[in-house]
Amino acid sequence: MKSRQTRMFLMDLKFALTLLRKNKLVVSGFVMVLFFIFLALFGDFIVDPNIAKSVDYPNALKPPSWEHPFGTDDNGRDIVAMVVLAAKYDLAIALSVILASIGVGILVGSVSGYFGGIIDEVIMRITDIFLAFPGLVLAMAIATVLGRSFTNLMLALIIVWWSGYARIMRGQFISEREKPYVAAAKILSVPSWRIIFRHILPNAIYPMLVVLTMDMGGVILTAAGLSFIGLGPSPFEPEWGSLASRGAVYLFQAPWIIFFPGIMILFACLGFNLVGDGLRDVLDPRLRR
Amino acid sequence: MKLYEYSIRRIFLLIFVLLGVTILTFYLSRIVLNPLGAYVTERTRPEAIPAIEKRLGLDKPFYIQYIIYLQDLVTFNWGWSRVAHMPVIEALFYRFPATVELAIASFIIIILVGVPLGIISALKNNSVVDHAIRIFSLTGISIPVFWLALTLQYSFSYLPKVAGLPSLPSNGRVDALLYQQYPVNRITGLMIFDSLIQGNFIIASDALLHLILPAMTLAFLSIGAVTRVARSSMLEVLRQDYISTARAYGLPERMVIYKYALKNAMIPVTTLSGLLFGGLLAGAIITESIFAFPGMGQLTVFAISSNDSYTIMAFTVLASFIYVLINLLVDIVYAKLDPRIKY
Amino acid sequence: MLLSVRDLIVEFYTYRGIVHALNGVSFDLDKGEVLGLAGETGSGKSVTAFSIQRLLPANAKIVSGKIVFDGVDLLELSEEKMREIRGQRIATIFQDPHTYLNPVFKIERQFLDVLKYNDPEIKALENKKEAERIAFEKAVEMLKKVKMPAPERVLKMYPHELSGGMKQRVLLAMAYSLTPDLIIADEATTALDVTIQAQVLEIMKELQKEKNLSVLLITHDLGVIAENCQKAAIMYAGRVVEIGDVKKVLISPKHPYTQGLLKALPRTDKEVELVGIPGTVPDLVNPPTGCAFNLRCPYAKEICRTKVPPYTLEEGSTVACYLYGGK
Repeated sequence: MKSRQTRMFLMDLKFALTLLRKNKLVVSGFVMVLFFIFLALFGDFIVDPNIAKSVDYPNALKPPSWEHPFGTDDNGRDIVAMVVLAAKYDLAIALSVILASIGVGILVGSVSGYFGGIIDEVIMRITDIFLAFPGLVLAMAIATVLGRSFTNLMLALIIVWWSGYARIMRGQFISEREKPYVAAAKILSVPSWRIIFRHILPNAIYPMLVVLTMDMGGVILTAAGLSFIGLGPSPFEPEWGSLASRGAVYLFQAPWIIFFPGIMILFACLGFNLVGDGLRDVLDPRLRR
Repeated sequence: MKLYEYSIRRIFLLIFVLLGVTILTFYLSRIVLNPLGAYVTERTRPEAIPAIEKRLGLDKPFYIQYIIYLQDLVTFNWGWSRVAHMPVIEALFYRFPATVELAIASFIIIILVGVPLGIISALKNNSVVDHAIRIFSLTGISIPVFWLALTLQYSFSYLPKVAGLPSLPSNGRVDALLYQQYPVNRITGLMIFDSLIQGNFIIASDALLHLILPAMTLAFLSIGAVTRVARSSMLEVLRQDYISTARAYGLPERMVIYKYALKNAMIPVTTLSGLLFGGLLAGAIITESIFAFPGMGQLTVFAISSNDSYTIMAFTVLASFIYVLINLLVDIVYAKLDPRIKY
Repeated sequence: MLLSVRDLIVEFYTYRGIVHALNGVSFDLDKGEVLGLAGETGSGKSVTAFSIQRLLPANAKIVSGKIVFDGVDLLELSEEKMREIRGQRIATIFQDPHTYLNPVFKIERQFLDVLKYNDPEIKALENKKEAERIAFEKAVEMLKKVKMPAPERVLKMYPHELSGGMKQRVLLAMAYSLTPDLIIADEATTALDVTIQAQVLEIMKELQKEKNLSVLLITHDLGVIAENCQKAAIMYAGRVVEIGDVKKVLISPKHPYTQGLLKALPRTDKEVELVGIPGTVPDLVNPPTGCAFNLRCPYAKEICRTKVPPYTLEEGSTVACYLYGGK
């Protein structure tokens, strides 16, 4: 029985992959994402990480040239190098915020959806409170209160992000818990936690893949926005948003400072969104005819 | 009648959510953040601090402090805004109409562009046009706001100006010199509306020009979302059985699509647009600050850069109240639109 | 001959590959005749119905064949002419009344729109208000004909406020209001309770007799066919395998598949053991060569696996099977 299910799943997966490979938009998105991850992982080996801390005023605000293809910033740092070095901070933010949020979301949503009743009611009202804020506004308030740092930025984003997932997971759990396989497990007196995590969770999280992929881009954007209004990490942790925000002041003298980090954010997010969008098409059984 | 009961129930629930919101903001502003910070400076004598604490009620237990906090909220005693040099509530209300004006302008663009694009995309499913629209809308949701705003500012305002070509204004709500020449009395605070009813077309058109770039920025970010929802719900509806019925009973294709399918497909779009509008009203923080547009968002960015926590927290509370209220309205409208909804 | 379908081949293009949904469907329907089309899910009954209406989804293609209706090949008609045929000459009643009415419009709107675009009398009226009024009256009259209680009130309701049987009656009334020559009832009663099913079938029978309509009754319920049809056609894997007088087909079935179907049917008149047909319905992406039934057929011979059997006349029924004809 189990092996049949696994086999079906693998067939499904193989089938989905063939479909994805055929979709040019998805492939290009995937390439963008891979490039981003490559920069994040190997950025420190490609360029000297000390550039981030260097100051070279005579070379400040130089326009793009052979020596500095993207120009230099107000500290005379090469923008190509800065952009490469920044990738790891953005990937770190996106990954940790998404993973932590979905973790909390799963925990809260599963307990709420599986047990229902008064537990569900209380948990969902609390979730509603977090959902009552426009995302950026709550993140802004929390980041202000916590103070400016890389970890606080992530923390603020996690506090904002988990509630949406909790609500979706709860919905998934409610629809899954009515299915016969859960009833069967209950009759065999499988413990609750095991039903939740081993039986329901895999089925419930499958449809979340699309949201999670696209939200990778969303987190990067929100983090960059917060950075831009001055709630980002220190200049020595050069996340793309904070790089760009330094450039805003020099928009008219040195537009390249803001242009290139912005383009990087755009491409990374577009990559995730293209992949997520393609995934949605493939995973949606109604579109599969 | 049923709708009425449903609304009452929702409003009742809303009170709980709003109380929760205030607990959260109270926690952030009074416990995590020391409110003394706003009143104590280097020049404050140490022996004066207990008096200030007493005045602010900080010597009382938390639940009493919370009740005082609520009292202050309800009586609009929201503290002093250091950046605006006036009470926070006045500053926010003074700036609110500008935000509303910007929200309305961008909302109009979002709907006028987003919905038709989504429908075209659905009707030409999987064609080149569909793919182009798809990339356009995905770009919209992938682009950093500040980057888009600054790029637009650079290319439509700065570059043409340098080249001596006509350019779009990129700062503020209206040209200050022009405004001194042709002043407008503040009635609603919506500048275009006010100047129009006073017959002041010069200011009205100038204010409209000033709206273009910030409204385009905000719109571009959300058009993608609207297009995608319009597309997928249209595709979904076109697959429905009742569309086959309409065709099988000899209704012309035009009518099947633009009457029978469209009304169904617009239900999710309406919900989304409501939420988007709520988000826009709650403040376009970054866009306003880049275009020096004097709304609530710009004030908030000022407040962030000078650590004015009263203003920030007040904005947070106000923004979430607006957001929640719009959400409620959207739900009620949704229930009205879709006769199947059971309350 | 009112309707004549010849060698209809329809394919669906899906991610899995090409689904050969219809592989040469042929049958005739006379004026005033009721033909029952039976078969398992996926045998192509509904695809046949949608092909006649030319309402196949975008990923389907009619590869070849003819659908001649009243002397005209429907597959050659322009979209506009076809629309008129759909509205005025061929009416379809679909499977699930719950999903075939538009949920966000009142019954009145949906009914009146259909009348305004198709009823020649109402179409001719210049005055819009007058047209609405006459259409409303006509709708009420038609709803009365299908024995709908309180038709005026029903017209002011949304579909979700009606029961399944009532919705199906609304659809029936809409279909018959256009005075069609042919009614295609695609599993029209399957989703209803047995008692309501009987009522709806009774109404359909009356209206059919009154106007001497032709009906293509699609169902998987052989009992419904036995009670309502003069002719029966059995479909398997996108082909009609047996067609003939209803009594002949159901009492002395010729094709092994029909025999199998009848053996799998419970009976009340005598004690018999129910026997299922071994094997499963073939995958239409990779259909078997030769007779599509050969893998499940107890009489399969070598030729059955290589060549598609032609039709032969056997005791008044037309059968596609090598057991009969030129032995």
